[in-house]
Amino acid sequence: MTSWQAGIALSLLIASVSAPAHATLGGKASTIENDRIRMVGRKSAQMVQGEVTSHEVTLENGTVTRQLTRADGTVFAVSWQGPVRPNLNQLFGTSYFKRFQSDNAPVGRIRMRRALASTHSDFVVRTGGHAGAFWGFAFLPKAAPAGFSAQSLHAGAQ
Amino acid sequence: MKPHILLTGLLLLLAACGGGGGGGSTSSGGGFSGGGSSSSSSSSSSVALSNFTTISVDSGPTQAGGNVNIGFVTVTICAPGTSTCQTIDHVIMDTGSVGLRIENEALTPAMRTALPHTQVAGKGAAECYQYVDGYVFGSIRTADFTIGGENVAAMPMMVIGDDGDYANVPTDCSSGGGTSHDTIADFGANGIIGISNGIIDCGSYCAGTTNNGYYYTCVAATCTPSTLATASQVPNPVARMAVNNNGTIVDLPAVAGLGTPSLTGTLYFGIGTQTNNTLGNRTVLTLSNSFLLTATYKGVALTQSFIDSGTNFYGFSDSAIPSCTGNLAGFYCPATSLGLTATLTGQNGVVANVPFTIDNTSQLVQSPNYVLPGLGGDPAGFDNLEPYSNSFDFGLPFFYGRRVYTAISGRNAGGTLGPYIAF
Repeated sequence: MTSWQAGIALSLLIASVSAPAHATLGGKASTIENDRIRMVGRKSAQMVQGEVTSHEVTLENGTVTRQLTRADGTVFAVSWQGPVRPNLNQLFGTSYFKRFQSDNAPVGRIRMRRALASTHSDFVVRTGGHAGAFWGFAFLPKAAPAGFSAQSLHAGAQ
Repeated sequence: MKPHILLTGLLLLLAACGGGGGGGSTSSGGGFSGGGSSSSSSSSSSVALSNFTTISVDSGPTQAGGNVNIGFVTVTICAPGTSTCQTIDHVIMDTGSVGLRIENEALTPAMRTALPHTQVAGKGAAECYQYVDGYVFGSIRTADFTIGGENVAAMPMMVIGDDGDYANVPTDCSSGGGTSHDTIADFGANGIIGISNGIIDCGSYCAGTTNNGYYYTCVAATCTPSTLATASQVPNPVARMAVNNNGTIVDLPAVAGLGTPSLTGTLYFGIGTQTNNTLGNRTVLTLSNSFLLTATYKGVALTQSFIDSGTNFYGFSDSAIPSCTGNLAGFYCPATSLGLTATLTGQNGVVANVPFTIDNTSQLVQSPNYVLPGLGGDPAGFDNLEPYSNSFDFGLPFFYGRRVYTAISGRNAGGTLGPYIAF
């Protein structure tokens, strides 16, 4: 396939994706398509459970990302699983990503080499895995629908 | 002291477990003696074996100490086909990643110049490689590689934190989060040797997909995503060895009490290929394609669990164990040592019990010890949030007092096809 053919194929793929999915935490789903293109998503899917909609994008590098939106379209959680941690600056939004990075700056005399995490009343991140197999999630407890369980953000749980 | 009493109990439990064991296959038991020389010399007098090297668990290189529970090895690299060589100590032995990666800072100026860059259409190849706590970025080179008595000619490797064309980390790489490990001080080591169950760090995917998340090409300090042929990708060095290429054995002695300043053991290459690396009747737990198995802890099956010498603690969630505070938040601080058990289940259904101890981290880190068998923490941190607990990470403390076999994916190792873990 030549490059112009590939270009057309990519355009068709994007056009055929309904309700594309990706925005930063706390943002609205309407900004999602820009992110999907920047992150080079190769396919996407959408699933509705009650008032929560899960937007799934499989990145070209094989990692699957999900964004959960409330009925009003606000993204209140993201999760990922796959060989590469995705662009978290893109997924979280710059201000949350900066907090996350600050939370994970090295401290103390002992090198702990632990998984990245953030814990605040309004912003929680959990990550894990090893080289080539990573997973994690971030969510906004105060923006989540009542009764939402972070346990459901387990990789593969949605 | 209480910790000593508890730990004695643990060792007895270990011995009892090895002698009988449950579920399919049993371990030979008793075989906790460290040291390669004893087992190799006791076997055959004909050929002196050299398929091993020394593991040292210590605080790290002089300019970047503070490591705990990290096993280091020494490697030698040469510009291919030349006598321009360098021996590099304090390279992290990591059974949780793939590939040899050496800090640019750790190389002599002569080596930085002499190691040839891998080229893709006239541009230098580079890589972003992620660890659970951060990432490294640097150039892809080739080197003649030596570890112990093993040699690999013209092996792809990475120079972390390279300069010139590779000076700027691509945004997509740094945006994966965590700390850049692009200096010795950041990494706490001169490099890392990834000897996991994997053969190569990416595979055919990176040969056929441009935005693969790993490989780039760089010109004038600007790097863009690129494919890279599998033969040029960074391999597990063990998978490239001539004979002993189906896996490794990490053999570290048991550690009593709250720990010890340093520890010495042996890393063997090959499984069932020599008289010093026989599998025997050890418990073999086969792994998923992502090298994961199930650990059952307090009745909960954690399906994304793994055994990883590059993690320096037992990582698992248990809200019943008190957490530490301040800089140690996320680690466990029980009032007294806790004797606990997890049960591992392989893809093959084989089951093995793993007794372990969790000590008070704030007490541990005040000691002069860099070998801390009871170090544990919750990778999810602590608060009143429900635990995100589908994983148990068995770090280097798991390896103390065990002979742990890591078999490479797709390779027959002692009669069983990898990937598997055995001990």
